[in-house]
Amino acid sequence: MGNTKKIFLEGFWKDNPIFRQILGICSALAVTNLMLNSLVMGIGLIFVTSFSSLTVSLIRQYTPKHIRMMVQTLIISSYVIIVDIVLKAYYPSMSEALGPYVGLIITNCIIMGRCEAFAQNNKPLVSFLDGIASGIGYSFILLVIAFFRELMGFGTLFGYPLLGSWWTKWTLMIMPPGAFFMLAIVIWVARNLSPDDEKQKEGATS
Amino acid sequence: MKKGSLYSVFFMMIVTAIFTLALSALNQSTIAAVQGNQIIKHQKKLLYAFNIPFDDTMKTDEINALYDTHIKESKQGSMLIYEGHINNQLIGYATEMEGPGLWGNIQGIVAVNKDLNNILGIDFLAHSETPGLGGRIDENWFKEQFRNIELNNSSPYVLYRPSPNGTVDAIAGATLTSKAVLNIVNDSLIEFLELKKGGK
Repeated sequence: MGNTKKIFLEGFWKDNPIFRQILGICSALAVTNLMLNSLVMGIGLIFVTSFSSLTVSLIRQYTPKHIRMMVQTLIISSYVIIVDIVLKAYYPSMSEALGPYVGLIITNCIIMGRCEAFAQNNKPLVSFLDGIASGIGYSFILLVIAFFRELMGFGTLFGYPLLGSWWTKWTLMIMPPGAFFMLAIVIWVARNLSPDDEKQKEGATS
Repeated sequence: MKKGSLYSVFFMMIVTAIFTLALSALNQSTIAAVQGNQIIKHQKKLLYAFNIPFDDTMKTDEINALYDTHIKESKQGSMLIYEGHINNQLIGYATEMEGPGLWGNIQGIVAVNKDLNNILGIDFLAHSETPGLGGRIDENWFKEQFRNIELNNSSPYVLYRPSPNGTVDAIAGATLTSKAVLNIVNDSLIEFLELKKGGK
């Protein structure tokens, strides 16, 4: 299905939520000091975005237009609570590490952005895939940022020591300012890798 | 199809009912596991305060067993007191402490040795301090400072450096949280020592 490929390409790169749409920045800055946190956050977001999009799309023909945002918020928050409960019950250490950020998935603009921009006007299955694609795009950037932050800040990857004791840990990297530097660098590099898109996008309605 | 406002109200009610029902069902089915996790967390904090080594990868049963062999709960007056044992020798007592922090209440545990003149260790159960500033009370370097420190002869029992009898360092940039923690520790020590010494 050529459509599927297009959806994934857009979510992952061309229309990547983070460096293209600059959405979901808050959590991208917050949880990226460890690879593991980023991975779990990414999985949580993929789950919530895809299923929210699916549900919104399923009931889109019955949803009165003027209350659609209420319905979307309800759906999104329900899925986030599901993620929160599951983490608390079966993965308490991760629930602790992510702390308030799980609840804050609700406020991640990517989810509502996809519901409004895509799921509202498309069939359920495509919307579901679109949610997954956007979630993967987001997770990918988070993992790239976390890779550098954890490696430089702790000398480890996923908790495994990779760099020896000779490595001077960059404490800055695991603190909030490190996230700003890394995010800016990632956006800069990613935009330089696809400079042509900039021109095509001009004049496009966002 | 014309959708009137009554339809919107009904639609919203039905959708809300469905999702609330699903969430309640999920919550009910996992409540036991969540509570179990909280008990384990509490037990780990007590083990830490008594400086009884445990491994974070330990299973629930192992933590439970470790806790049962080392810590006994007893009540004195209205206070819940935890007695710490190593090799069947009483090493000290622990009690829960609580008091106002900067943003909300800080709850924790303080353990003292059996002669009531040293702190064995402290740990925090819950707090809502600023992450990265006051939230650093959770970090090991701060908590480890309270390991095996001698109490002053009279209240206040613990002071920050550079006061003459100071034994611990405050957190830079988190003055209010640091002060709050010290107050909570001292207040609970006053209460606890009074109880212990009065009871003897």
